[in-house]
Amino acid sequence: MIKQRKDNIFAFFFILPVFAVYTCFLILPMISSAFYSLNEWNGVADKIFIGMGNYKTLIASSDYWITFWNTLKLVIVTLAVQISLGLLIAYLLYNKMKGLKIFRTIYFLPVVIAPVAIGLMFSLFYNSEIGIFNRLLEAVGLDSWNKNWLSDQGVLLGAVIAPQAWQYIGMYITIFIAALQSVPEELVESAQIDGANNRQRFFHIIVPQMGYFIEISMILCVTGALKSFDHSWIMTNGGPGVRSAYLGVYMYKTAFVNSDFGLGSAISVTIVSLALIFTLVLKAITGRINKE
Amino acid sequence: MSNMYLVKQKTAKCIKYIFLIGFALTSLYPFIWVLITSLKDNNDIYGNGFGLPKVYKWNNYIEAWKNAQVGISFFNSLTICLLALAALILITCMGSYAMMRVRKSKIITAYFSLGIMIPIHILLIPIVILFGKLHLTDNHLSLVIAYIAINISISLFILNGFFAAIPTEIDEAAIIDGCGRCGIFFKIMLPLVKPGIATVATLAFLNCWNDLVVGLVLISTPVKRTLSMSISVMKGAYVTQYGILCAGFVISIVPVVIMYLLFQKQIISGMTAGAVKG
Repeated sequence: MIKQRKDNIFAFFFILPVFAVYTCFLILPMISSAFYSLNEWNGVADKIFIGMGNYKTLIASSDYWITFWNTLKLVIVTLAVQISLGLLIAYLLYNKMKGLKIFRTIYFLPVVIAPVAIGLMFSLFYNSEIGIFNRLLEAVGLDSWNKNWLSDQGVLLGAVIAPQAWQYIGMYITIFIAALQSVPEELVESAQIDGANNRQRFFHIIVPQMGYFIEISMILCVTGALKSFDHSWIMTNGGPGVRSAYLGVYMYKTAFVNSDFGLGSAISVTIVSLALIFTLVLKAITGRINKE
Repeated sequence: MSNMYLVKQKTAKCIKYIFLIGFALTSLYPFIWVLITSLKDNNDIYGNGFGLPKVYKWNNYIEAWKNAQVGISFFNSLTICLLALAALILITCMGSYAMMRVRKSKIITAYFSLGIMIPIHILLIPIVILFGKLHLTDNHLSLVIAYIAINISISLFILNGFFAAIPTEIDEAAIIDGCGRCGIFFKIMLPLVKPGIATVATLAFLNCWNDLVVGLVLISTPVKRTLSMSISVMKGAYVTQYGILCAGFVISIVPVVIMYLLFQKQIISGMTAGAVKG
């Protein structure tokens, strides 16, 4: 009995520090953000309660919808590029184990570099005078395609999305290699004996076995896109206007450039809600597929 | 016929390798280009975009380190990250040990996992207000605390697995030998979860070192900037001095690349543990 009580007291004091920091500096701030979003507030003067007023402003704001669609485009591009290339390259590597480690080391390298550094690097590549993209186009005789990538409205958003899509492919390659290694070998072998060719084995045997990893990767892709900030901020400051801004950048500009803390909080609440909705929808879809 | 089959297989293998090597080049070459460009002067960059430098301009590094304040912010980032890391590891190990081995509680474990998926943006406004009230605005301590808080969920998630995997007989034997809970924790448990600590340490270090936005909202004085902030400021201030920009870039990624080469296993398992966290 005494020992149990002593253990309880011990556990209490050992959990206390991490519990206090986590609660005071993460959970409570998150809750207060939801509360701030119901007020008109510049962070200094008194808060004025306006109910759903900020959310109504957002719905009516064209800037909000521009950044919303930009974010959605980012989600779609990163999903398409990272998941498909990740799967393809992981499968190629897995089939031929020689050199796997070296390839993986190289592919994963961009993942660990700061997004702000990657953004800086790409803004140099996009530079119309010294950038390698224009130089490469010149080299193959396509000078006419040369452009100022970060100011030409037609390609601006694509140019801001590309580095982010490129940077994290290695992450998904690595996840999918781990996933492939968890597929039972007998399953693949027996399909081979039954006469399934490479492509059939991949789509009908291996991919279904990796469902869980693909689901997690998609959730990661989506939440990653929803919180993205650095690439867009360093390359263009989200501009001109909010043309190349995501929701995260729009939130930062609203709160910390225009000092509208109430509206900024409302945007951040919508970001978290979107992350939750996406996650639940993806889980529901993959849950249904798994049942069938 | 078997000959045809062999030829076909060989070609397929060749194409596969060409593809894999090609993709490796797109992952690696950008960094090599920046490294070479960081040693060139502007004339060289304009005239000779892809070649090696004609004259090696080491001065770019001195310029970036001193005048662009990359040096100061390098040490700012290093101090902040190491402080956050030390505190984070201590409190999460204590918490994880108590949660997993002394007083198991599903509710507490679930409570700590809430923070894993939350986009960081929802924290920015409230922590600015909170640290303002605590008179820690524009103070490195605020960044240290914020970085600890942000990394708690994922660190506990990783550590819990390691603490749970230790056989219970070890605690029992130690208790019979008259060892107190504190003694068990420091003398027996911590050495046993060293691999977990290494994973958490590398992952949290990367998260802190690579952060930009938390620094942007909490720090305003130029000499207190983190490295990421300096890099983003530099881009505006040195618009056309490409060599210096590239030198700043190289300085900022060197610690991360070294760490990656040394602790690749831990980094990959940490980052993908974050991926497979459900």
